[in-house]
Amino acid sequence: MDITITNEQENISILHLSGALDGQTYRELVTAAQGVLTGGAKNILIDMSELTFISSAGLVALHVTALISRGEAMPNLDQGWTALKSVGTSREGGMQKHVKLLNPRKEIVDVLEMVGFSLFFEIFTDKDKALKSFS
Amino acid sequence: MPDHTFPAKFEFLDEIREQVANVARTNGFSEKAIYSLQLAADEAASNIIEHAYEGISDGTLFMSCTMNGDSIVITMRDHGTPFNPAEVREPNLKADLSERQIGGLGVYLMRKLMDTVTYKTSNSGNVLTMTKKRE
Repeated sequence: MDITITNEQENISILHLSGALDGQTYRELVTAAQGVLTGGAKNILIDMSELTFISSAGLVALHVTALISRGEAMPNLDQGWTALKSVGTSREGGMQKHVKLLNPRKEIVDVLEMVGFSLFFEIFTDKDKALKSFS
Repeated sequence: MPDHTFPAKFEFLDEIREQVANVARTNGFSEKAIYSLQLAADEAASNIIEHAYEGISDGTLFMSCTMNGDSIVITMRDHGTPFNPAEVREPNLKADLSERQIGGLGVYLMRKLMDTVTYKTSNSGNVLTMTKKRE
């Protein structure tokens, strides 16, 4: 998987994912999210237009990205899976305000729905609308 | 079709998914079904890599993918610690993201996407068999 990062508006970073988000690559998303948040971004739009596949490991990366975007402590990725699973959780629930998804393909939307993640991650098909939704 | 042998490492997930897609495509499965089969195979292989061969860097995973009538049969064998999917608790899909345990969705997806998932363990290793009928 490749990730390119663009910063089109203040406080918003777009992570463009290309390829497969699986057990081999999920850490890359968390690392990229950590990077932009550390760099001052408050909001992350994950562009899935070129994402071909997501597995439960990719769902873990989305889950962790959502948690760290609202201020939970960053996991030490050197400790691997265990560290990711131990990220603290706050009581803030419902649809995520700081992490949203753009243009996932139908099969990926189906997976998100199957595990209930469509209740937490707003999905946009229009980039401008997605960017405006953070304000 | 003979078994394909893979090192039990996450970097071979791509190849495992591709093998399954090739057999499914050749036998007339829809693109939606092919994605489901790839996801189930990815989750099964990931569990072997992560759990059966936890802490073991040179484990081997054997996969066969064949047709039995109208059903595709995906079989994975390993010689690691038994990891029976039937013993994994169902995730609480209604819980809010902040309440959810991170991870634990892989086995749920396998069960949801395939018609049957069976697991056997013996002195000669662990065998996971998953089937799905062509629609």
